[in-house]
Amino acid sequence: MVAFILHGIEEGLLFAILALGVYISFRVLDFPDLTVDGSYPLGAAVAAIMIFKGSNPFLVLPLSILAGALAGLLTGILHTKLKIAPLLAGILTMICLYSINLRIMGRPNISLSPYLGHKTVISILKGVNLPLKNIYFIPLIFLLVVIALKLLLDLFLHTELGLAIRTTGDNEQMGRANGINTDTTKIIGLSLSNGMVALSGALFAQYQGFADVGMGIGMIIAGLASVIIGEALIRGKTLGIITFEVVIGAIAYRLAIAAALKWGYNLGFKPTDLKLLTGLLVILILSFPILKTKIKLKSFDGDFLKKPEISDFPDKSPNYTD
Amino acid sequence: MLKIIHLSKVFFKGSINENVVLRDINLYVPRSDFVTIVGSNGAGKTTLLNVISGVFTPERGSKIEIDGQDVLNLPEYKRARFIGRVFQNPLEGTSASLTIEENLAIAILKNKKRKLRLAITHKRREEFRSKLRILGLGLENRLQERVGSLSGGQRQALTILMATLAEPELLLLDEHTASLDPKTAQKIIRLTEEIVVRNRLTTLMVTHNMEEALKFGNRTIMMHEGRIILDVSGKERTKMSVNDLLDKFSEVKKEKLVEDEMLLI
Repeated sequence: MVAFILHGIEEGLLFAILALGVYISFRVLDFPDLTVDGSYPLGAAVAAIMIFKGSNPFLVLPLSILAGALAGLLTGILHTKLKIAPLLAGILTMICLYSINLRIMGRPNISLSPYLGHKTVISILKGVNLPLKNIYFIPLIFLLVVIALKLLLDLFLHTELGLAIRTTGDNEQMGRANGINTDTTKIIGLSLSNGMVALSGALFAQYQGFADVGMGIGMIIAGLASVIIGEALIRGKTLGIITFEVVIGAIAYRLAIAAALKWGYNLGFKPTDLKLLTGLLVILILSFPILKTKIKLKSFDGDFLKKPEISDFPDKSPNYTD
Repeated sequence: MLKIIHLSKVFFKGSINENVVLRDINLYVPRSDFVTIVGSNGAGKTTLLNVISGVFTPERGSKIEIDGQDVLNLPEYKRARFIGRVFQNPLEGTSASLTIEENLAIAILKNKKRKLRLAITHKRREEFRSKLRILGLGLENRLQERVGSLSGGQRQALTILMATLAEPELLLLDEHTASLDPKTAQKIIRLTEEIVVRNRLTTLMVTHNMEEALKFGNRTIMMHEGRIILDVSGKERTKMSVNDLLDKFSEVKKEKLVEDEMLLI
C-alpha cells in the first residue's frame, strides 16, 4: 500500500511540472493551448532518442526544454503574427509535432532499459549511495525539484516581465495602453509553458522507461484537471498559494487515476477507459458551479437571506470617503 | 503638440454596412491645452481617441503627429509611450487579478524595458504610497490588495493615476466618469482636473455632460457625424452657456435635415 501511494506521488510530482506549464497558458495567459498534447511527447522523444544513443540523461533535459519552448514559440507566432485563433493555433502545432516526434524517434516508440545499458535520471539516482537510500529517496528528490520549479515560477511571475505576462492574460487592452507588447508577452509565456511541459515529458519517459508517440493524447485535459482539482481543494488568492494548489492538484489527480486503475477493475473498468474517466471528471468539476446553483434554486436553502457583503455594492465601500 | 491632418476613418469599407465615422478631421492642440469634446452618439468622439491611440488604423492620407513625430506607423503599445488613457468602463483601465502596487508597477514601466528583476521594490512601494495619498481614498494602505476588490470609482481613480504616472505627452479621457454614480463622478472629475492642471498635461476629454464640457478645460469641440462642427475657446467660450451649446447643436442638425430633404426631392 505504501509502495502504491509512493508510486502515485512520484508520478504526481512529475505530472505537477506539466500542470504548472498548463497553469501558465490556461490561467496566467488565459490561452487554451493544445500544443501540450504535442510538446509533452516531444520532450519525451528528444530525451529518449538521445539517451538511446548514449547521451547523459541529465544533459538531455535542457534540450527537451528547449524543444518544448520552440513548440510554444511556433504556437505563439501562429496566433500573434498570423492571427490564428488560440485553439486552432495549438491544434496546428500539435498535429505538426506528431510527425516531427516520429521523425525524432525514427519509430513510434523507444524503450529505455537498464539491461540494454541505458542510463536514466532515475537509474542514476537509485545508484547513489546515501544513507537515505530507500523507497522515500526518489519521491523526495522529485519533491525538491518540483518545489524549486514552483518557487522559480513564482519569482518569475513577480518580475517586471512576469507582471507584463500576467497583465496580458488579464486585460490585454490595458496592457497595450501601458506600453506592453502583448504579442511578445504571449510568445514568451507559451514558450515557458511548453518548455515545462516538455521537461515533464522527458522525465516521465525516463521514469517509465519508454517514450511513445501517442503518450501526449489528452495531456492537456489531464493538466487542466490537475489545475482545477487543485483550485477546488485549496482556494488561495496569492500567486504562491495558487501554484502550490496546482502541484497538490496534480498529485491528487495521479493518485485518483492510480486508484481507479487498481480498484476500478472490480467495477468493470479497463485501463483503456482512463481517458474517458479523466474527461468525465473534468466535465463534472467544470459543471459543478452550474449544477450547484440549479440544485440551490430548487431547494431554496435560504441563501438569499444572507447578509449582503460590501462587495455586493461596489460603489459604497466604507473606505470610499468624500 | 497634437496635430491631426485630413483624418478619416471608415468602418466596414466596401460592404453594405459601410460607415464613415470620421470625415476629414483637422485639429491642432497646442501644449497644455485641455480640450473637452462633446457630440451625440455616433459622432465619432471615441473613434477619434481610438485612432489617436492606435487601436484603429485610419484611412490613407490621414496624418497624426505628436510632438512633431509622425505616430501613425507606430503600433498601439509603442504609442502608449506618449499617451495616457482612461476608458469609460472602470474595468478596462486596470488589471483585476493584480494588486494595486502591481498595477502601478505596470504603469510606471511604460517607457522602460521590462526586465527580469522584481517589479515591486521598497523604493517603488514608497513612491506608490505617496502618489496614492494624493487620491485621498486611503488606497495607500491597501497596496497589496487585488484591484478586483475595489469599487468602480476607486478603480477609475487608480486608472487616472496610472495614466499620468509616466508623465505622458497627451492624456485621452473617454467619458471616464459616465459609468459612475453622480457623487463619485464629481469626485473623479475634480481629481482629473487637479492632476491635469498640476502636471500641465495636454488633454482631450470626451464627455456627454455639456455643463462639464464648458466648466473644465480651456477649449471645447463639438462633433457631429464625423466632423468637428464647433471649436470654441477663450472669451467666446467663457460667455457660452449650455443652452448656447445646445442651440448650436440643433442648428447644425437642422441644416443637415434640410440637406437630406433636398436630397429626397
